[in-house]
Amino acid sequence: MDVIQDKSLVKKTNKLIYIFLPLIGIIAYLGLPWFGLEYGLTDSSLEEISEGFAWHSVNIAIIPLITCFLFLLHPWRFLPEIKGLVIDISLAIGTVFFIIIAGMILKQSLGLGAGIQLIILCLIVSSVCSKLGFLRGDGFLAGAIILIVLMVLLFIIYPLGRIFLQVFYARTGEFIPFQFFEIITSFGVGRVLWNTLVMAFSVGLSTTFFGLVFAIYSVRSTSRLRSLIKVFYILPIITPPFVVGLSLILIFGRSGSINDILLFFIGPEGIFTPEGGQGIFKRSSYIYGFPGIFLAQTLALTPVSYMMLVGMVSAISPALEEASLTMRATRWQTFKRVTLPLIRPGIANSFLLGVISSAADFGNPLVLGGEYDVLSTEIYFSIAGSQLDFARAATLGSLLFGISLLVYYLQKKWIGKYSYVTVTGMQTAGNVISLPGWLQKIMSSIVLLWITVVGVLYTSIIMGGLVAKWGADYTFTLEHHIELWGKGFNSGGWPSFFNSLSYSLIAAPITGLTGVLIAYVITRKQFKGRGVINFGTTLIFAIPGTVVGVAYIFAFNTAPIELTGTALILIVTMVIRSMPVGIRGGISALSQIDKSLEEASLMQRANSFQTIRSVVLPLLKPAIISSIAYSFIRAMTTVSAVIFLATAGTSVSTTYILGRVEDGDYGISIAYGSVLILSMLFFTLLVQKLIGRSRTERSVSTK
Amino acid sequence: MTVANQSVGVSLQNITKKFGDTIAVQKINLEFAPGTLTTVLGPSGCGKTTILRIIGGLEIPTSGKILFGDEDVSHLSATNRDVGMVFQSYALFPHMNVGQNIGYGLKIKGTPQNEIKERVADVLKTVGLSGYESRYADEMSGGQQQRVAVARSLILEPKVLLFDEPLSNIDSKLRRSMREDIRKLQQETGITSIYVTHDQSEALAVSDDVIVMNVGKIEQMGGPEQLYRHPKNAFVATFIGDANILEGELIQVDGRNDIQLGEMTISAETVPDNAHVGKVQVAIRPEVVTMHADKGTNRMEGKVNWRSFVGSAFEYTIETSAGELFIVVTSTGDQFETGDTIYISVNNIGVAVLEPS
Repeated sequence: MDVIQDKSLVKKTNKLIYIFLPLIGIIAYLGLPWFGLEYGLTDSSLEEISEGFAWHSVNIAIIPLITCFLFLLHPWRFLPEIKGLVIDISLAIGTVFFIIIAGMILKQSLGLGAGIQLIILCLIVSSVCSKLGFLRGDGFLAGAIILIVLMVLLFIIYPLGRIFLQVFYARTGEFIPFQFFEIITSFGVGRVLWNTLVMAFSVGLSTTFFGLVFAIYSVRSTSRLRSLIKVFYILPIITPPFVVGLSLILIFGRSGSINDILLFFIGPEGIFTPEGGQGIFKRSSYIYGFPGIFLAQTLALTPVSYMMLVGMVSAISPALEEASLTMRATRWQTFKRVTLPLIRPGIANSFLLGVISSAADFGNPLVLGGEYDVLSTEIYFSIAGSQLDFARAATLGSLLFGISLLVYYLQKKWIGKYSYVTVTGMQTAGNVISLPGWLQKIMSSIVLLWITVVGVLYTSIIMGGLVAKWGADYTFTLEHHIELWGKGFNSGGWPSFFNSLSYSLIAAPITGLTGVLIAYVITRKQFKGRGVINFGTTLIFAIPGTVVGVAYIFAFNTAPIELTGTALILIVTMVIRSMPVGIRGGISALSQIDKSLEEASLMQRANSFQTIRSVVLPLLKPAIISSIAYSFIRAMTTVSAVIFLATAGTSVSTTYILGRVEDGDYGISIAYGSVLILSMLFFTLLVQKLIGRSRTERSVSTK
Repeated sequence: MTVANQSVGVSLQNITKKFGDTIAVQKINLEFAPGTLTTVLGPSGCGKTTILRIIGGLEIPTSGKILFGDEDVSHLSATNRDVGMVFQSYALFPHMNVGQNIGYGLKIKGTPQNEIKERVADVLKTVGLSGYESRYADEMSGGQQQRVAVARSLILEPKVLLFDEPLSNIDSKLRRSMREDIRKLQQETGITSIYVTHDQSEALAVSDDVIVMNVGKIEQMGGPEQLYRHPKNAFVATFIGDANILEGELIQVDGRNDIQLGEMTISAETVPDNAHVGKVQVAIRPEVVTMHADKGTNRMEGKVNWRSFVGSAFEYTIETSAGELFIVVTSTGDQFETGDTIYISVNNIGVAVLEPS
């Protein structure tokens, strides 16, 4: 590599390496606790905090402090440039390894100060790399890339490594190389795997079928129902994944409405009472198990499939179909032989996505599974309660992750480079060919049925929290809501709601901005090591939430990075879990900006940071706001990973609700669920209004 | 507008650029003289834009060096390379007005606001758009947007100015005056400029030198007239202007080079060093062929196969014993009918012997 020659650039970078960064390091040493606090910064006593500071005793933190001073003094400045830079980089990297390894050996958990110190050292490394010609002197980009790589390593690769390692160790700490095979061949696991696959494939098929129907219907039908479709896909986004499951219980459950209605018409004795026995219409729990999970996941995941397919359907050029018609094909023949083949990649893609999402879903099987075990819940039950069978959890987690990664890989292969591109719901104008009449009639009835079911379910969610006991006592009451919200901010639903809110508010902007940054780096930049980031983001997309949860328990329960039980781990989890949303949002937003605008900025001597700040961000503002908003909703409604990590002190809305479900308090759960849905709906409308306004502002100012 | 104090030359040494397995540019060596405007001309996909982007620092060459004067800038990013560029799409920031667009680079540099204002007004005057500071790009015509883009590329007084097909989005009537303006501006400022286009008439009109490229390689470099008169090969001959590529025979009479073409003998102005006596390829410009009704001396017989009227001229396809010829006769000249037997003569100024391939 060649060293960067440009004088002003070198001067700026030098200031960073030899003045600012080491100074921040020293300040962090002095002002922040170096060691992890058992109870977090806010709940620790003053004495505990003061013991957390590095200068309280003689310890390993002195080494990074010395490193900072060395950079500040920079005694090797008279050496030849290359030699000096080699010293810089080895000193920084050496110190990073020292901090981590010493922490591991001494079993000291690292605190905020150490975290800052590590970031500082990494920034020094990236600045030196940029001086060495990496990314041709673009220090900001070098720093961003190194931090992204670090994030991926720390929060994805390392925890996954821990999970794989855990597979080989028994509860006693004994090394058992073939434990993986022992566990997967043990009783029950085969059935769980089979269940998971059957469910995933069924849901993949059904979501794709309904998604396709809705997509074609909303683009091609002449019915007025189509405008309703555009509204309905927002509901599952703002609904915590298991609430649909809860409402299914209200309708189809043992004491659900359907049973009630059937009993009302037929009577408790049923139609036949052979030999004085019970009627065949006794209350049945048919919803628990395959039918319930299947129904809940189909309802929850179809909108995803719809959104993926609708862009594809509307992108089909009418000319192709017109060409078919002019060759004397009928509308049905045209639809079958031209339209459908054109969207075949989208169909395949939607199917695979349905498979992954179903296998990864945790909330619905937990609520509705009954005897029907799937991997994601089985992982949870291996750890939850008094089981604590970590090896089993790790093995099943690896299995689930493997399936997910395999399907994700297939999906990515299938549509190649478009795998990230979110399809917008944009509709093309023009003479699209309408559907054959009979087909439209069939589709209309499907859509109508769907809308009715969704309508009934959501009504039951709202109503479920307002009656004394669904299925038994339908008297109107505010009892559930009063218990949740009426007993002060320190009891009921408030603490978990505030936790959810504050964690999500911190996580969402981080997700949104990091997502844009990752999107920018992987779509716009070529550099060595891009593969690592690509691979890392692929893992983020493919990794199921339960696997994240289990992996984080293994990875962050012991020194040097001890985060379990803290709010930080939940925030990190939320960031990682909603990162796919952030990255997708970033990529689709960036694809709307002509690359030459950024190049024009670079040509005006702006560096990447200035370009992102002055050109990319202003143009992306609406897209970033909606990406942050969506990340916020994801963070508020996520459950699969956080359920492993939330403790009594850090419980969030979703884990609180699930806790009440497990206790059998359906009224309370559904009441809380309805409030969560309504507040997310309110939030979504608010954001849409804000974005709408910011667009008009711009169009006004250009006049 | 201040004139660049010192123009620098640009040289590319052994530049290769691969995108995956495809080679966009292969081992190119080029010198751009200080203060000149050089056009890189070629069909789309020939690597011309890649070369421009490599010079600008937007593309990293797989191997090779780029020098501005004596300074090796190979590992400097676009930000630090001191280059201005006019993009094909103009790339005007849609969220900034004209003044902010042009002043962007100065603002990044930390120039005081009033100085930015002054210099923006100054450069706007140069491109003939005084007073347009508060307009937005979407309120201007393509030609005006293009001028803003030029103004923006000039304001930081770059060492090198790059034009990436700057006129391709402008309608043909305006293109002629725009290219004259660009040329004048370049000559006034004396900034070494490199101009990419696929339009040969644009290339001939604006440049000191033209580089003709095809599939990642340089076919020929030279002044506009030299390229037109002495194309090295069939690609250059047909890419710059129209040419009939015929097979003839190179003969030497009394140390003089002649080309035998059918029954006709034409004296060859220049002959490539590696051309040998015997069969050669010859390029004949359509406008140097004259048709006659009588046989005369040193004329070749032909038959009019097709004639069409294109406004300023008539175009003919003539069948001869040496092959089919495409010729152009101005509307005011003598015309013939399809099917006529005619005799053609050729003015040797528009005849070139091509290098053997």
